[in-house]
Amino acid sequence: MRLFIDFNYVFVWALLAVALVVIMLAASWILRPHILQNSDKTSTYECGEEPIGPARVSYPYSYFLYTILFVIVDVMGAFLWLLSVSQFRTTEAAVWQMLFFVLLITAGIGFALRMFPQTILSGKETLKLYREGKARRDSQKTEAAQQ
Amino acid sequence: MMMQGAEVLLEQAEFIGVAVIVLVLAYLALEHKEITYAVFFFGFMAAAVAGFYLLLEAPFLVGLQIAVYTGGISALIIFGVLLLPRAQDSSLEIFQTARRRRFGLLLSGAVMLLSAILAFFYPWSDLPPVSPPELAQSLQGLAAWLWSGHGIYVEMVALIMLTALVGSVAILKMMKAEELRPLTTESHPESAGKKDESGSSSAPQTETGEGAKEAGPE
Repeated sequence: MRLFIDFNYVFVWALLAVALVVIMLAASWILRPHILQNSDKTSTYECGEEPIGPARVSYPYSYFLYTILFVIVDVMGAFLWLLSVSQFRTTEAAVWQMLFFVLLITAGIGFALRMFPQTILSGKETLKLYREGKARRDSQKTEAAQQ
Repeated sequence: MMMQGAEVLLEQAEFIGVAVIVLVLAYLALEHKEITYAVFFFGFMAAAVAGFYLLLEAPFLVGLQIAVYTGGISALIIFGVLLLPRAQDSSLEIFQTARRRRFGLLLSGAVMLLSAILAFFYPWSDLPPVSPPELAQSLQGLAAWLWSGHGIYVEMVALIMLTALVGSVAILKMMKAEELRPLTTESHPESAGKKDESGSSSAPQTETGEGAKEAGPE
């Protein structure tokens, strides 16, 4: 038996899933009242307030680290999945290799989580730097005035 | 014998079906105006490419393709769109002029024609008869080969992951230092005060305001 024939059930399931979505969308389109759309109806709902500015805000870029972490855990899971679905008799070398693999990646994740506070822009730090700069400028001003 | 013929026919039908789906989704991923929809089409296309690996009898690659590309890379691109204020409202119109578009179509057509010619004239019949690849076909064999015999590859993957993590931390630290530079250097107190109020990365959003209004409720 070829592999893709084993997966025909998956294709049937996928077709059913697509059909379900199409039927539900079509049913809601048929059942809902088709009234005139105006700018109030199509605007973003912000608790009754008038929406100001773009709806999509830019997130702090430090969240990028979380995506990298996600991809890394994904890849680690894929390789460990290969090990878990097989039933080959685990040799000593395989066990050490797996331990080293997991250790390397968890060390990386631990390092990233440890360094995470240093990558985000915290308000306290910004305020401290701003106050220091302001004090420096003020002292320079007073010195200039005294001279 | 009858079963064999039906199997071959089914294989060809599935290949053509998957190929059509992949081509349509790839076109949509390239040409869709909304970058978020383009990312979703890319993810679906990556899932459909797994069908090719299924036809090639490589179950591990199917799992890896769906887990890493459909799951990981799509999430990476969506996060990239979320993080970059400019990318959100960009309409992905690289072909500003019809001339560049025509040139791109011509180039891709030439590449497709060349590969079609190569595929037609390649002496497929002279190849030795292919026995089904045993290693890739069985997860057991692949796991034994990869984990007990050639573990160095897996460790290399782990090292690459480690490098990616360290690199992203370094890039984020550099970006933070860049954000804080107006505060640490002796210049414009006004701009420093503005930075203080926002607290995070605030890009100029005046020019993107018009496009976002059309985006509507999400």
